[in-house]
Amino acid sequence: MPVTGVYFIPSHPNASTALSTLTERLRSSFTDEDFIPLGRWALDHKLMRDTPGLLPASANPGQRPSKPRYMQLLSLTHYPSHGFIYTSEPTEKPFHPPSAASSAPSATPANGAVSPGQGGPAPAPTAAASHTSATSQGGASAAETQMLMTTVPPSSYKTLFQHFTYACQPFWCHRLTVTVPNGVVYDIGDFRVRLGDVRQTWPTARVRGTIVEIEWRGPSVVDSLAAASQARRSGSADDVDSGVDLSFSVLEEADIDAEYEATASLIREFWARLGVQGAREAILVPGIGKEIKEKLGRVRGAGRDVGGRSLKDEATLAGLGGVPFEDDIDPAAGTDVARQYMEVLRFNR
Amino acid sequence: MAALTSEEYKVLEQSRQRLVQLTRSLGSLIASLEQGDPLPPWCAAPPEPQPSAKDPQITPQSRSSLQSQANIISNNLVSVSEHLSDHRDLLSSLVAYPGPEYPGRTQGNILEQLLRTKLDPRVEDWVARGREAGTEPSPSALDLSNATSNPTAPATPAQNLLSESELADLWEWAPLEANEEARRRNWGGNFTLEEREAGIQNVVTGLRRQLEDDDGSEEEEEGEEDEGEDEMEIVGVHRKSGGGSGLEFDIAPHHAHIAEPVVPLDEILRYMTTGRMP
Amino acid sequence: MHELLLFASVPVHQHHELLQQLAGLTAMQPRHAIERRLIFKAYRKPGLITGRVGGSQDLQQSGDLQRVNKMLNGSMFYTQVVGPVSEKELGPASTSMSTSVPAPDPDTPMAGTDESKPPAPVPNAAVPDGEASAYDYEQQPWRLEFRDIPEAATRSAITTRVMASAALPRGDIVPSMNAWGYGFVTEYLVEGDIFIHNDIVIFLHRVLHYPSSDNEPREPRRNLTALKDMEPLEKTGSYVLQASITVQDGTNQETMKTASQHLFGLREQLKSAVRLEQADRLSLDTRAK
Repeated sequence: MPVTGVYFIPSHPNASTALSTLTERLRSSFTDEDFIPLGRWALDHKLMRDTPGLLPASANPGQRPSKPRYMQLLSLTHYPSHGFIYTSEPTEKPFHPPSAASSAPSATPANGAVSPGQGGPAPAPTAAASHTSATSQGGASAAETQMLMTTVPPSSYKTLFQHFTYACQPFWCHRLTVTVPNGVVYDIGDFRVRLGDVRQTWPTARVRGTIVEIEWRGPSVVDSLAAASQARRSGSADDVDSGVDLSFSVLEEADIDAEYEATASLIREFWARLGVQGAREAILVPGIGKEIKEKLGRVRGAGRDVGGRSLKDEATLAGLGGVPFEDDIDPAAGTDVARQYMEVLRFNR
Repeated sequence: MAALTSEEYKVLEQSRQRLVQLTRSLGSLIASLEQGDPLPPWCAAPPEPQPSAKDPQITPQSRSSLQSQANIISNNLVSVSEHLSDHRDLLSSLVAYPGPEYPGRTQGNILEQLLRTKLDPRVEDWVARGREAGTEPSPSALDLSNATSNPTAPATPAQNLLSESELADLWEWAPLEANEEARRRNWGGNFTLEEREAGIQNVVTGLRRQLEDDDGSEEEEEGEEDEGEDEMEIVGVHRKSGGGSGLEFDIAPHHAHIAEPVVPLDEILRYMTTGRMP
Repeated sequence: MHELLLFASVPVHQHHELLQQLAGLTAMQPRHAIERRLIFKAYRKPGLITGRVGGSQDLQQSGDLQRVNKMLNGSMFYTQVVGPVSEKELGPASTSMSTSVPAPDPDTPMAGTDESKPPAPVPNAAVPDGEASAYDYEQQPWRLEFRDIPEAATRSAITTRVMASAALPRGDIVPSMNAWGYGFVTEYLVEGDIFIHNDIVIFLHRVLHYPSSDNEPREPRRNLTALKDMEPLEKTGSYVLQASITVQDGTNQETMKTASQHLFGLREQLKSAVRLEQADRLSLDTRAK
């Protein structure tokens, strides 16, 4: 999982986008040998919001406006093995004891602490700063993460979206779909750059702006750690594993953070050379590096125990008429860049 | 750098045509899978004895089978692959560059595609997957080779499939081996030794009547020998009660008493749906 | 996607025979299947409905608001998360008696053994030390299996419902489900045999409970219980026969009709053995009130 940064340059609905300017500046800023067109890429992003949060504040005078909750579904052609679903953590932990299922309404012991008179959503004391701001603080610690990343097989991406729009209307409302239908990929020196115009396709068709992903392809501890754990998961030879353990067990989480910081400055430097104004940046977004740190924790803490645990056999669920399970070798791949895309694509309609 | 000879042009043109064929047949397979309703048949129906002109629904021409389409694709692939390897020297030495008259402004996308030096990342993945599938021994092949450790048809672990000759060998070897295996066994009785060791109550006979384990001499622990030795017990049939002559058959001798379900189906389904206990 | 179904209740004494009949009919050996089924229920923040009803009366003009209100009053559902498990993962098979323990042994009806059963062991105790096939919750694959309430069509004698099935990531699925708006209700095990007959999936199965303990866990179990220690929901050990066809495009009347005919065909073929019927619609009601 390489270190990346994502920039978004918004544009007015009818104006031309920054794409041509960007391409031109990329071409003029780098020599031809360094500038290699690689092909195309595409993106699909669906933004959902909690339905209750869409009621105007006046509809419920006595009620404090709740923090908006989001569900974002993202699919990237450069991570074809899964789609990303990023969801605001629930403010309360729901649990329905089977006995309550028969009679009681949705008020359950787990969320009964909310005073019914107020009738508002749980004020969740744990709720820290909202993550809707586009600023990029250095906060990459997992403790601050308020959105939950789930990766699902490509076939589930559409099915789950349809499920949420069909069966979850009281709590999820589809707000926007944007796509990058025809992005271009360039290799420029140690960077890989993905450019494309962001088009809104739902509810109305319009242009939103231009998005740029800058991926650092130079040497990176983060990248090799991700690759190493992937090799482990796919069950490669033991000697490879032990070698990996030795070299990564000396790493600390702080080293990972430092690595992200250092690479972020490289990416910012690269972006600055293009001299494009008015862009929103997403690099060190909340939750970034979470999966890498988890991997590091496993590598360090687990010792021999982790080595080469084989995945469970593929199986079919015929009992419910389901289809076979698909296996994702590295479910965490691309979660960092997905967070960055989602950060800039979380439009307020 | 010499210009291409007409012969070399022909080779290029042939490559193009073969690739066009391949894409067409792939396209038609995809189309028939996506749009065919119902899906195309698995294999072609045997030729009708008398093609009835009355039935308008049967149009075998328009609905080629999946197998025949797969065959076509496979032939196309072979021809592409043969062609590419036959002209490897030429094709690998060619370099593409745009001529001055190429409409670079309007057809920039195609140009980029033509001038690519690396494969598309997606294609790279396909190639890598293909390579992996080609080199890795599949676990099933390994199992097979372990299970049939016979000298005449050794299944090489590097191969996923047996070749024609290996298949022929296998067929030749199997009947003899089976016969020999059969001779090694002591036939007679209702159960094999393995079955007895595992407990005969587990054997699924597919029969309604109980099979007696009649090999009583060695089966001290079975405890059924007392009655089994002297008098053949006939299960499921007994003399008519009430002293009359003739026999009476048990309908389902397995079951001493019949337990009808106490929880209605609806309640079970409701529990499965919502977790509400009946 | 749509699903068409017929059901039948199969008394335990008929189970073995029906297995044989189905094997004959379908010309295949039964495929044994054990599934963990977790039931989740959509939740809504408490108090929202009451808070909304009073204030919204005068705001109906805005189309957008109307739409939001309509959505807020939309149905919410139970949904299942299903994962296959192998018998090995459940715990050690009993060595003394049969290999598939809860298979109906007609001479010792389940009801009798259940009552005489000693106190259920702690689930963890069933997991053997150092067993290679010990259950690993982190590697458990899951699928989301959604079923709508069956359609209220009276003309057809077949249960028809909208369905969706989507693979989920392995391991602990509860945090994702919670974030998506679903809360865990309970779980059970389904054990049975699968046959495929042309486009019909036949599943002869029954529901098994984990040995009851005082406090019902609030999340899916991380350890499983040996199959022989599981208790059937239906105490006599009876089975449910489910015959289903999945139709990709439920709006296509032609394919739906064909599928119904196939199911009716199967009903005829099995007529002498079991009576396949449409299920009571409300028993399959997945709406969360």
